[in-house]
Amino acid sequence: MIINPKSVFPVLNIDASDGWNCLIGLSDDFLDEKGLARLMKPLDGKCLGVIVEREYIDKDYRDTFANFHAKRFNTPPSRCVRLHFFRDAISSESLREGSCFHEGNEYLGYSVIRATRPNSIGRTFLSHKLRQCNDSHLCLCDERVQILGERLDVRGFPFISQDVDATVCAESSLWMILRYLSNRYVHYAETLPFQITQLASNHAVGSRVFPSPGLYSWQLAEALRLRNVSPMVYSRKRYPEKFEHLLYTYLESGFPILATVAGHVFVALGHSSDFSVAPDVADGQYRYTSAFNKSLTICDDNGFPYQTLWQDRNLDTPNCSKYHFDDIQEFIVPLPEKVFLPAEQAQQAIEKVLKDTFTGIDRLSPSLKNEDLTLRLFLTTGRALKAKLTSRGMGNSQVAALYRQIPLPHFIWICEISVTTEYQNDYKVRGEVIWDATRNAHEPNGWVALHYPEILVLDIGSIFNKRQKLHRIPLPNPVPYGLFQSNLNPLKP
Amino acid sequence: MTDVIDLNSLLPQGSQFTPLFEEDSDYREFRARYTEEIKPMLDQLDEARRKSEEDAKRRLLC
Repeated sequence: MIINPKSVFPVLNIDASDGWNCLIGLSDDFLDEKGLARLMKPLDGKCLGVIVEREYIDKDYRDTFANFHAKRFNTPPSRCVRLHFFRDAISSESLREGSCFHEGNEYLGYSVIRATRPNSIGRTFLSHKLRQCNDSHLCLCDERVQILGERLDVRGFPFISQDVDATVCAESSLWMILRYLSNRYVHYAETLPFQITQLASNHAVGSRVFPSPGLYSWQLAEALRLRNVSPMVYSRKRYPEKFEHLLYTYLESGFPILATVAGHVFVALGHSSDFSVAPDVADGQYRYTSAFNKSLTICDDNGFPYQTLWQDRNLDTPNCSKYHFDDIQEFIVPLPEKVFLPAEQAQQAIEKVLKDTFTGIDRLSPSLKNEDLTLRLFLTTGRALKAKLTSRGMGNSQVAALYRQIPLPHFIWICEISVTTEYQNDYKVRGEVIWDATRNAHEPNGWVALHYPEILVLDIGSIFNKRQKLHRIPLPNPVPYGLFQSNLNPLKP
Repeated sequence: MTDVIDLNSLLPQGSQFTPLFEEDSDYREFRARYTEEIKPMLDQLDEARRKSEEDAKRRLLC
């Protein structure tokens, strides 16, 4: 059923008489069949009501229009159509009264439709509940949207498709990452598409900037650097054993990454794992939670939001990405400036302490010594750790009380220590190492705390900006406690 | 200011922090071993980083 077809805000209720195809006409042909097919992949079966917002002025498209499309002889329209998606159908009464926005009809996000060809899908922000893999854990941010004077909130990850002229996959992927950062953290300014194109212009030596010929991956990293991010590049062939583990570790730390395959780049924003079977590990090595990872969630500008990318080449679910883990040749992680210690160095440093004859598990933790252990490495902030102390309990009230009181670095690496079966069954942990992410790994005094079930070791010197002073307290009656969850949406909803 | 801070005051009565290393020579041994053993590992990682950045100069994405 179509309501108010000749108004600025017509409504399409998807039913037997009017299907998704009606959106092409309602969007004044801004939307084409290819664009509709892409939108339907995450939405079909989950969305019954669509409000079409005509004459929409989109800040991102207008930026590209003013700087590129307006210079053409034959210009596309400067305005767009925005589609708003709702879980249930919308009645004309509820639309008139505005109650459709507040009476349990879940808002699923929006998509700006440009009159550009071959790709009409512009700025899009769909709810993460539309993701293909329901047990995936994602980097998410919030947006507040205004429709007909009503404000609605939605949580998800930004998406945009390339327009082929001013932006290709490289610029689109950069836009997605930068918009996520500016949505989530006030520290980062919003970046418009043509600004991204221009970020590359400073180093487009002997090459034109637009129409975009694409970017080299070092140019992606440089563009991030120019937006106050500290990018790091990881090439698979240089980290043959740890590449996928490091990629997972940064995702687990809440950083979406730019993943490159042959000639193409997309954004990986989450992962999902199968904890039913613990993979074997080589003697003398620790098993990390990354070993359980089975898929990534990606935003590929040639596809649609929240596609699943499988590790296993034999897995082929409907609409999943055509790529697999081993297609990823390289990734770029947008780290904050003050994270001086990268994941691979933090891991080496932490493992040195865990295996040391004075500080290691074998010496200080009889209860863990003979257990099959799984470690989980991630970056977070001292504030985020403290915010979760009460709910987690930390296995012993003294640990929570001390962590709450001590000064902590802004960014910290945490390596949680779990008995594998407890982690598989209940996501419980037994202890953790906290390492200052503003140190370098050569310094033996980078760790802030070493927590085993039986003992807590604190550096009560460095935390007060003095010489390292490692002191210990015994911990009576320790119990397993919940893992840290803050960087991504929770493991247990 | 830090001289007036005593984390022992946060602990239950009868419990207090004690040094992790009983002997200073143990502490020095720990630090020396850490520094010596981690250096070659970190050098290897630094090399992987440099080569990753070199690879990035040859990978065109469009």
